[in-house]
Amino acid sequence: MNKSVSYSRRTFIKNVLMGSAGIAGVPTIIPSYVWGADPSVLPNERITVACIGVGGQGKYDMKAFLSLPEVQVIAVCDVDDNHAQEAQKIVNDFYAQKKEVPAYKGCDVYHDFRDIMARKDIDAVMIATPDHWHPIISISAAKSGKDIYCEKPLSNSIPEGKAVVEAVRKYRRVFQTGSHERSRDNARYACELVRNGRIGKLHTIRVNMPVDNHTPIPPQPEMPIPPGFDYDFWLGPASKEPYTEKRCHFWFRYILDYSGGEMTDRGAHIIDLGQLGNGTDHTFPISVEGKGFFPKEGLFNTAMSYEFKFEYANGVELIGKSIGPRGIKFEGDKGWIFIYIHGGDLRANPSSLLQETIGPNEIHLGRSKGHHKNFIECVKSRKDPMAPVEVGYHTATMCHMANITMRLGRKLNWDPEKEMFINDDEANRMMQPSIRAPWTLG
Amino acid sequence: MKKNCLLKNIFLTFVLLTSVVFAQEIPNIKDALDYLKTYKFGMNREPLEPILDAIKVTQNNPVKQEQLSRQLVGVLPHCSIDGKRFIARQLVVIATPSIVPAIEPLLKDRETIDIACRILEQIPGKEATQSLIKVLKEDTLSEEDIIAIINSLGRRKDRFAVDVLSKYLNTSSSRIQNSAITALGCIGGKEAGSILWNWAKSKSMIDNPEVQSALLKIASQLEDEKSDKNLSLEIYSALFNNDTVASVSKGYALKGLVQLKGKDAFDEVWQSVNSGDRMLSLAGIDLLKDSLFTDDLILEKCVSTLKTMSPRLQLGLLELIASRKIQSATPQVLDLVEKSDGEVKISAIQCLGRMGDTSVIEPLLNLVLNAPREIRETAKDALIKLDNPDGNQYLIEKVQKGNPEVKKLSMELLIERRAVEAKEIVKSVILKGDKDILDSALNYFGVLGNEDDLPFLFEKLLSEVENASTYITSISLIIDRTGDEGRKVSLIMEQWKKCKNDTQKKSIISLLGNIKSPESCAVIYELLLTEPALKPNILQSMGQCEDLDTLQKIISQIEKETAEDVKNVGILSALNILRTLNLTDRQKYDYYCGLWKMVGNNPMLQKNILGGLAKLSLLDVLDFIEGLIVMDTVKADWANARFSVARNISFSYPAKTIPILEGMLPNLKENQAKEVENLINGIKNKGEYLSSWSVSGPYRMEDFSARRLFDEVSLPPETDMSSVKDWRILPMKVRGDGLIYADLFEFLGGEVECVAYVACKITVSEPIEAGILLGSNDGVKVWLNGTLVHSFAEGRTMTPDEDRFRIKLQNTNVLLMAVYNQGASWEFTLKIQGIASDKISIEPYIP
Repeated sequence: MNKSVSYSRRTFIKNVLMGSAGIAGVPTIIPSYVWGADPSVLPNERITVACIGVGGQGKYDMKAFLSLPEVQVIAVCDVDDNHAQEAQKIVNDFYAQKKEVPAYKGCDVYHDFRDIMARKDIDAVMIATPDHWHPIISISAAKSGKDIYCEKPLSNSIPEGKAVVEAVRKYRRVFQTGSHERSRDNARYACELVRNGRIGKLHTIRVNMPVDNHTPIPPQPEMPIPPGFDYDFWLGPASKEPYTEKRCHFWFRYILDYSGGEMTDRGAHIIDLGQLGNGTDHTFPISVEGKGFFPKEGLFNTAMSYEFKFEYANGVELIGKSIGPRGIKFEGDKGWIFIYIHGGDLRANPSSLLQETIGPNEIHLGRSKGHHKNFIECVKSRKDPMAPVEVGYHTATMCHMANITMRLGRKLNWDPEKEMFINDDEANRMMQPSIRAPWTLG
Repeated sequence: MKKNCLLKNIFLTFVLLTSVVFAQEIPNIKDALDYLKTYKFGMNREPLEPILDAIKVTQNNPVKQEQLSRQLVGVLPHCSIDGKRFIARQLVVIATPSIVPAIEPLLKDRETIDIACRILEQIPGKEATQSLIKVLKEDTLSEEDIIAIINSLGRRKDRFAVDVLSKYLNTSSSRIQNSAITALGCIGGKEAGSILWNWAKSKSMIDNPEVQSALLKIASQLEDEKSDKNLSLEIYSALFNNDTVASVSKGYALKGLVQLKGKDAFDEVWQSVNSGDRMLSLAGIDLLKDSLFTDDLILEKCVSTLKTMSPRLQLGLLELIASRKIQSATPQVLDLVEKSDGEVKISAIQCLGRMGDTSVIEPLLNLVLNAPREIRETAKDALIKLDNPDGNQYLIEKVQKGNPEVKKLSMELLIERRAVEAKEIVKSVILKGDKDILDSALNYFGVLGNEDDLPFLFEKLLSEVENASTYITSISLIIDRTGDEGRKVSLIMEQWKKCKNDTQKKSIISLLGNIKSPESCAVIYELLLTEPALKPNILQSMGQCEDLDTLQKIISQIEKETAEDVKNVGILSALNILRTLNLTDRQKYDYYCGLWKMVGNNPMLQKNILGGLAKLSLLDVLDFIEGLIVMDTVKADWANARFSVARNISFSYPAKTIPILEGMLPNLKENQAKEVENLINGIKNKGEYLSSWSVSGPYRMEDFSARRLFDEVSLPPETDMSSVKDWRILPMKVRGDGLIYADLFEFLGGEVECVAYVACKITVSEPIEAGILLGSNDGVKVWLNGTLVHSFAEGRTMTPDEDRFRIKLQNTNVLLMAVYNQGASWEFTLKIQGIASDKISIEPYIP
């Protein structure tokens, strides 16, 4: 265990220069290469952002955008008025302090996302609603000419994800999936090591996705809908069900109508890195099999423990379990690398792998100055960000494939071209979305 | 061939037979079906498992699927609404056309229409479409029901429904009309496309966004299927040329036109670029990246008008020129650099670098030498990134032939470009002793040199006393890269043997100091004993060692030193080490007290010590500062140190610190005064905030993320908190809205992936249960008297009152909290509720 004292090259150089500035009379010039100075920071044009869905994760994303000087958050939207008003206050207070205008009231509040889409002065939207809303709002945003930062998973069904991809590409929008683990330098470096053969030939990817927060709960009573919460709008395209507190907000992720449990929650981070390291960001595995334990009673119905295996056309297997330290391990014939999720710590065998540098002619995966910042930069440059829509779609599809194979209890083969299960009508029907009228993907 | 077919048939027959023989039977689901009659969502689902198992065994077996579907449909009329929903979910997966008639009644019931639609959307064959159409024709449906059925017809994509849907295009309900438009768009194909297109034209409905969206979808589908190019083209052209169509949709149409017409669509693309509509222009510029359009075409039309475009378009076009590396556009881009300003000028400079044309080096060098700072930095960056290896050769020539400024700049650029091929030229510069660029040349070796270059550099170091400092920096940087600590010292000490005078030895001592390893510190200390004449230099080098042992050695040396100047160098070195050592506040305080006694009336040293004391956070430190008598020249530093410590501990010792803070107010600048006033108000009105804390940390473990620390590690403050030595008072902050919180990130030096512990003693006059309201960034664990009472593992932003829990207090209690930092902000705020202020006292935990 260390108390925090780090000895970096930078401090070394600094001390060389400072320490020798005394009697010996050594130079005081500090060359820019020593500091690794960033290239000039360019003046930026302001990007206006509206935040849709401002509960827990939504507020986190919203604050991340607030912290970017080139962004102005000008609207927030939530079907829970309490969330919306709280978010509006945070934004107004933030700008009041920043702009030193105590009565700042520049952030508008909305209940219906369609009112956001109608505003011409909004460049981009952040979507952090429950998963079952992601596709409808994303497609609506694309058609309205907004760029989109949408939380992961991209969708709650495979065809909806595909529809989002089509809309984003046809309407030429910038889309960042909220799988921010992709923006960690360590994760990208580890994937570069894998992609450049430092662990030899990659044969197995192991993902550990322990399930916490998710325990079976007893049957829940129907409850009165809290004031200010538009429950029917919250349900939206999902089936009509009676209101109970643990159906909504954070807990929705453990109910299949709205999400896919741990598999689509943190799976959308961890499996996502598997795709990056395997170099399969733009395709799918060719089969999946798995078994899961689903709660037998109570409100929650997503898998609470599981094992699953994907096979890729390149022979690599991705094997997942609901135990072990949360993270992903790439195994090759000459070594392995493990990435801890939510922190990005790396382990490797041999450990010297982590001292390797990536040569100029090797595969470089680029670096991000932060997932939200990267999105805003791409809104300006019109380039694809770190987690473009196809990446979000492929990863979410894998998560849904794993859920479907566990529910059907059999191995499923997948056609990456047709984007369908092979010779399995039930699986293909199970992957279809349920969209309650009047909502439609359009 | 025949043999192969025969074998294949035998194999298939075998597979079929075995699948029949070994296929599992459908489980008995009678009890499960009965259970569904009273089933409510949230009830035990175990009795329903046989139905789920039955679904699994019907895989790809239409006979069994029909059998099971019928069983499920049979019980539908008798089920609770939740039972019906459960059955619907199963029928979505296995329902066959034969059960469509049984689903039909559900379409006519408001409660179940969404279930019925969902099932019918998935059933293959025309029966489900016919059923939806049949019900759609009934008069009794509400607007919502009609929309639901139309949506389902759209999702089925059955072209059989086109005719009936087209009738709803002329309905008086705009909601139903829009549903029909969308459904036709989903179904697609030539027939739906023609109907919708002709209707939209005849009714002037093209300005309806739903119509635009549906038509674009159809045109795109026809284009993909290559089934009716003319209709696609007609739709795309009409939408592109219609002023009421939104620019984002025009961009969609434009892409379609490019795909269908190829380079013949250049006029439309150019029209978009020049449209004055930002979104459409950018779409046009983006399409120009396609190799269909030649550089010449782009040059002729676009680049020639670059100067007159709007800034946003100029930015887009510059990106296009840079990504296509259209070097023939260099004159226009240079012109833009000269005549534009702001972001466009900067982008134009960056564009020059990305184009990779060596002819831009000269103008960029001029910008670096003569332009204002921001432009200068951008131009320099463009030169560093100039995408052409010939650029290095050009710069090498400049190093040899340019004027002093250009030479120096070129050398810096070669360093930044990591131009290893320039090494011999740089060496010759050093050998010639070219004073204009000697520093830069040595910097070059500092960055790009290796061990092979050391003999040359050592030789120059020992022979050129006047440039020793520059050589020392370069050599130190190279040695730092050699890895092994022992080797570093031996490389340097080999040179010691060659030293013929004290000046040379001083250089070697400086080099040793820069190494800062235990090995080098030990060697320096030995020299202290053998080279008395070089004491000041040796003590100064020892000051670079970051270890307690060396600090002790310096202090013992100062204690016996009689020469004032040597003593002062020693004290300065000791202070230098104290600044870098990871000691507790208490330890640092003790050292500063001891050193204060030795400094006499040296104002520089006094200021230095006061600067160190100002960073500490203990009541004793404040008392010590208050008791000091200082000279006038040091009074401002004394006041600052007193103020700083008082501010740090203000929430824990308000009676002592508020008068100090208030006394300082008139001397503070406006912003700082406002902040202090805010702090004082916060202390006076802290209400339920628990704001008297001590802190220990930050704690990190190599290769452990904060999340792993949370999951896997118990650190000393948890296991034996009284043995921890570094408890000090945690400063609190007050936000504009009155929120009182601790900014651990600022106070603990910007650490991430770590944990800090905060603790306080809570004494109550009678047993009571209190509520705790906590917000933290990121995870937390809370213990009361050693028992874990609350935890939250994940990363999050600090939201006041987010976590709520209760604690039972009796007599004196210790509240300990671990606050984890997974990255960026690191803070917490905590309130205690339910106790009258006269029945509780809170103080920071100091063992």
